[in-house]
Amino acid sequence: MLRPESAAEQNFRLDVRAWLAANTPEHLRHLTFRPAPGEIMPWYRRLFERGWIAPHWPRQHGGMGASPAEQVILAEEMAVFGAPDIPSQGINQIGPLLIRFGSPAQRALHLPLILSGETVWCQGYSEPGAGSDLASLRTRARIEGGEFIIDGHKTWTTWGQHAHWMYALVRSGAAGRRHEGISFVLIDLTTPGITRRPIRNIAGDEEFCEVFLDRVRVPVANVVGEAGAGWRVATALLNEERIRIGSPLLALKALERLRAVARLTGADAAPQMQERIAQAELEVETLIAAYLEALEQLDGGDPASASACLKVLATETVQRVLDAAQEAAGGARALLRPLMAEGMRIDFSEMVLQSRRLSIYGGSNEIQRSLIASRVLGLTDGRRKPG
Amino acid sequence: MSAAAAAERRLIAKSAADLLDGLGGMVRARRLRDAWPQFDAGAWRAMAGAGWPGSLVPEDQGGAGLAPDGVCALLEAAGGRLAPEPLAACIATGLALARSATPRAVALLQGLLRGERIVVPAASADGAWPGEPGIDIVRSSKGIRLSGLVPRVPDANGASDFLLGLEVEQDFVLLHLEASDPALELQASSTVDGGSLGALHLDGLIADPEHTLLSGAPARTAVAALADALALGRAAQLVGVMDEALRITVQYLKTREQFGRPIGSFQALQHRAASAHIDTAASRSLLYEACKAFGTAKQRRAAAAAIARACAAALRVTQDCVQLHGAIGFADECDIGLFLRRAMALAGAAGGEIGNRKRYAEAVCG
Repeated sequence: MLRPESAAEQNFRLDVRAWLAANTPEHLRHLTFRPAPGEIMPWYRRLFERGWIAPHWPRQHGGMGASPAEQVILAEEMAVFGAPDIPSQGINQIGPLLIRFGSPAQRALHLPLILSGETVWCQGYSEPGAGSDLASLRTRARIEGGEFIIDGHKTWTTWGQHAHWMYALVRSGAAGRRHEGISFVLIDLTTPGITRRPIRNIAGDEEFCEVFLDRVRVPVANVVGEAGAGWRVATALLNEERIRIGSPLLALKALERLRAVARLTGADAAPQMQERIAQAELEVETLIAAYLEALEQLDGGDPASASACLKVLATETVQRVLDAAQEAAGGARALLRPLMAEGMRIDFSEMVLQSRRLSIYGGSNEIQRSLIASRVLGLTDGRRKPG
Repeated sequence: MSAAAAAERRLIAKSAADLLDGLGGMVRARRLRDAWPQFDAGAWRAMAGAGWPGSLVPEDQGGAGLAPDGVCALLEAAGGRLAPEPLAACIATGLALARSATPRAVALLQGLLRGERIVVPAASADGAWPGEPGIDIVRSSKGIRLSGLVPRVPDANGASDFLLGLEVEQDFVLLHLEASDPALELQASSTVDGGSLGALHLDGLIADPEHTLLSGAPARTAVAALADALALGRAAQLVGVMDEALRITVQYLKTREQFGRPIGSFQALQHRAASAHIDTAASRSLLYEACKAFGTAKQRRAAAAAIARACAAALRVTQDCVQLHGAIGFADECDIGLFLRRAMALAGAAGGEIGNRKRYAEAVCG
């Protein structure tokens, strides 16, 4: 972060540093994958008990109410320390959405459990036939008494096999305009009729899965916002999601990885590699500036365009930094297993494979560029009006 | 950034844009591109009248006392209108002059504020200012005797005065050189934007003690502030250049038709324009974040980051804007080429991406 830090911010930085050192088991440091719930949730809970699990949530909902600068400080310290990734769907996606659109009962039930880590959430948006074209989703809900009966097939559901609850988009209304008749529902994954099948990803991990819904009964009280108005709710969430994807945390972690790999292989002795590292640092600094600006302007301007820019910038920055890390790895770049060196787990290939998803999820970067072209630049597609 | 600061910036940018449009906007920019020397005396008087050269000078010394982000908002507007005036340089030297209480500095500052004197740093575009210029320095009873060459000094042609930061026998001094000194010869070479770079030949020029405006630590701090303010100023101009180039290009994409539809309806061009927008927005975010570090231990690193990024991004964006125009973009009659030319000249004057990235990497943060 280039801006000067206040004394309070400097103290916060030191607090975070000391807390991480005292509370993080060694085997959870410098991982390049998301540890399984059994491993990570105790640490998640400690972070919750310290009050730092939800930096960006308002205080009245149990968050930290952290300033943008404090959020960046937290990310910087986590990255340097090598803190593990935690499941983020609850904290970053559905939590903020419920704070904004949830009923008092939904908030009272779910927010505390998200904060404490007792409930792990996943997202039920994509379907085999509805990826970038999300509004073409076909999972159906018919109303029977006070219940939705849901039939359908969700896919690419990150951490779906570990999750307790899923928030999903389902088609509940009559066939009308594409964006109408969609409802946003909260589904308890212990409900009968749900089958989950893990999918192995390009990095060889089972981090996402398919979710089959066969006559799954969900109380109508689990609809967020109005039934049939789910598209608006989801769109608001997409903006929030993209801003959070825009967090510099991953880019900062990638930068640490680059430095570690270059040090380990001795690649950092070459001026060309030093140059590449400086370039990576500068790109991450740019991302931090853009992230701070986006957070500071969350309440003004068009969040859709700011979040689209940030999503592209953040994800492509991570990928470029990891490209440099691959160059630093040299002949070792394709090694499957990590090495232990200098007390650090040095991975060569996993993080770069994992990072391919960044420019795909949350709306592919091509979708983001189209959105910027229509929303910000006013370039239409020649067939229909933007929006 | 607070909402109040953003509103203030918008206000400054708006009034600067209005003044520049009143002076002739793009018509003036094109006329000056072809003029030699590239100087518009009336425009400079108007800018001085609006207090622009004294933007960073404290109010009690007759300046506008703007914060760095306000100055950048002003220079963004000037960049977007392709104003060729040495605004960034004079704003930066004004800041340095304001730190000296010598009668010469006070008089020079007054001249600068009134628009009567144009004071620029005697710093080569190639050297990291304040680098070591290739000149021999001898301290004599009469003063400091300088011989040698300072090559490729931006904004030198038309300047009345130069400021030179120098190491003299373990002392660091800020010197004033007069363009009219017979021992100073200027050789100007044209740049693609209609501007020029000046080679300063010093042939035994003697700077008497009166010409030493600052020495020791205050001189170092003032020269560092001058250099970093200039880097931020040029970054702001570059952001203005790319922003306006993209705006013009998007307009063109909406009106030019091929295959029976506006070419802006084609996704290949949309995505190229969207990438240019992201690049511009990110450069601007970094610029204003860097402004926050001005006057702190991170000042140099932040300013170097902002200018390195702005140099690279402005060249990318203006080149893409030419491409998005197609053949007309390659024709001199089309204004978009003027933006690429200005981006080249500003990036050159500022020391370019790689030179500044090196400064960024070397600058130690406090």
